Amino acid sequence: MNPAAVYIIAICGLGGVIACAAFVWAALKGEFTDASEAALLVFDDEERPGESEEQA
Amino acid sequence: MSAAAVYLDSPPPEVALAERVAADQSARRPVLLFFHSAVVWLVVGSVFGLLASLKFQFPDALTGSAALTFGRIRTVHLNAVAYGWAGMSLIGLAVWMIPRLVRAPLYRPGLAVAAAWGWNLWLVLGLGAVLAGWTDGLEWLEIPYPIDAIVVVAGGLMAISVLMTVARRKTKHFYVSVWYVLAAMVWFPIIFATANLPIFGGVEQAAVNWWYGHNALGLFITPLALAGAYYFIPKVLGRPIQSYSLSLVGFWSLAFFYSLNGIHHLIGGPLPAWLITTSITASVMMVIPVAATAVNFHTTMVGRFSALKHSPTLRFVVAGSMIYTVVSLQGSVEALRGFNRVVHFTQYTVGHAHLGVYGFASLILFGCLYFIVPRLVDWEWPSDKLIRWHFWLALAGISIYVIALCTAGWLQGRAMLDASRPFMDSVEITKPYLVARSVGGTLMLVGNAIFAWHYWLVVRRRGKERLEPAWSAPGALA
Repeated sequence: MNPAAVYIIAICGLGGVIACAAFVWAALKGEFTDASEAALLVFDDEERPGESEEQA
Repeated sequence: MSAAAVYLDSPPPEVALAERVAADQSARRPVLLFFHSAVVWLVVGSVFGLLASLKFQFPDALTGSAALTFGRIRTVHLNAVAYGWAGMSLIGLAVWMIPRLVRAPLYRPGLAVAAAWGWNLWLVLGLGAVLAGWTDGLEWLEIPYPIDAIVVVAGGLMAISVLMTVARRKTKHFYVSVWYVLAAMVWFPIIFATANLPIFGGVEQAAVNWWYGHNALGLFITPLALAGAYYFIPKVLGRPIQSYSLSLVGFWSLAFFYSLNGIHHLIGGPLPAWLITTSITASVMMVIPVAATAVNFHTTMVGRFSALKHSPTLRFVVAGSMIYTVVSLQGSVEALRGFNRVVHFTQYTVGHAHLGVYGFASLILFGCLYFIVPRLVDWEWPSDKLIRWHFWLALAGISIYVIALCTAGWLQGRAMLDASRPFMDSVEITKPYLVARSVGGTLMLVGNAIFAWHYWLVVRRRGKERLEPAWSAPGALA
């Protein structure tokens, strides 16, 4: 087999393993639970709906 | 992660505020450097883009110097806007968002500053080489690979700073924007380094080239731009994203399907049929993350569209997000063999690419900068009118551009497939649409120049000091 093909298959395989590992890690760490809590992470002070911007 | 990690998603307001101030201060210098550079590259790239477009109307203009021929200035345009404007502003956005979202100061901001200088050095040397005629000759990979070593180092420094910041997080969860940023920080170095290896030849080089070219958009620009949209739509509206779980479905399905898309650029080429069919299948599967994202953004906005009158950030980001849906579905259809047979090798592809990088990513980026920059320089945008001009020029420009080129591409493709017609028919038929492209490009350039001028005013703290955000004053509505 062409060495370049071996290399690209190895890179893609490694990427796939990393992606699967990240997914399993996220599931085990509870990233997919308590979604409503995670959704609030963008807010850090009083912000009112319809206001144009937060005040720094 | 540090031993003192708190792992608290909802700290008391005073703690949250203090952490946000610390996060903003830690990231201020590198973020501004990335943004300053990006705005300069935006103007440079836009000028080169318009010059390239005008050469279709004035082919004898600027032919005295090899550096100003179409092949070189079009390449400079692509690299300046893709890596200079979009790349640097997206990284600046990521560096600004991550410390806020993980409630930890940016890790060693000096690394990010060095990364910004390195990125600029790479572009200056790389685009200088392209103008001088030294190029790798591959789409999206024109900068010679010895020079690419600079950006590998710069990107590595950037990744260390961001990843170490995340490792020191105080939050229990990753917000979905953090997932997108982390993924882009891992994906881009892999695809960039792989595609630049000088070990591929012939048809496999073409396959790797388009695997990279499409993934540069899908695994670098797209996730970072979506990270911005997922941050700013809830932030400005003051309500969380409609379905956080759906946002995770969007992220993971993009992660699983996008990387195989690029080979659809080689439909009809001398590649194994299974490889191309796999790519077409993956391209169609992209409907899943796109629908998840579109439904989520739309249902978050429902009943609150009036907020678009009051927030430049929201208006740009929502427009960019809507265009994301359009351009992604257009891409899925474009990958189908029957449609691709007509539009391949035509202006249609150029229109699609601009809708992605400008209509989707750049509009979201403009919105992000309208929010972030006043907070970094402690000075509000001085002119409501200039923001309004910028928005409508950008939207009108990209609309004219894309409609003209997609129409031209379809007609061009049909003419090329008709064996009874001479090839020159397929060229002649595009002429009026190419004029429209120059008109659209001019509008975008003027809009970008207005934005750059306004950006200069705000970072120099010029104009009357304002206590309220742009567009929030009575009578300031568009």
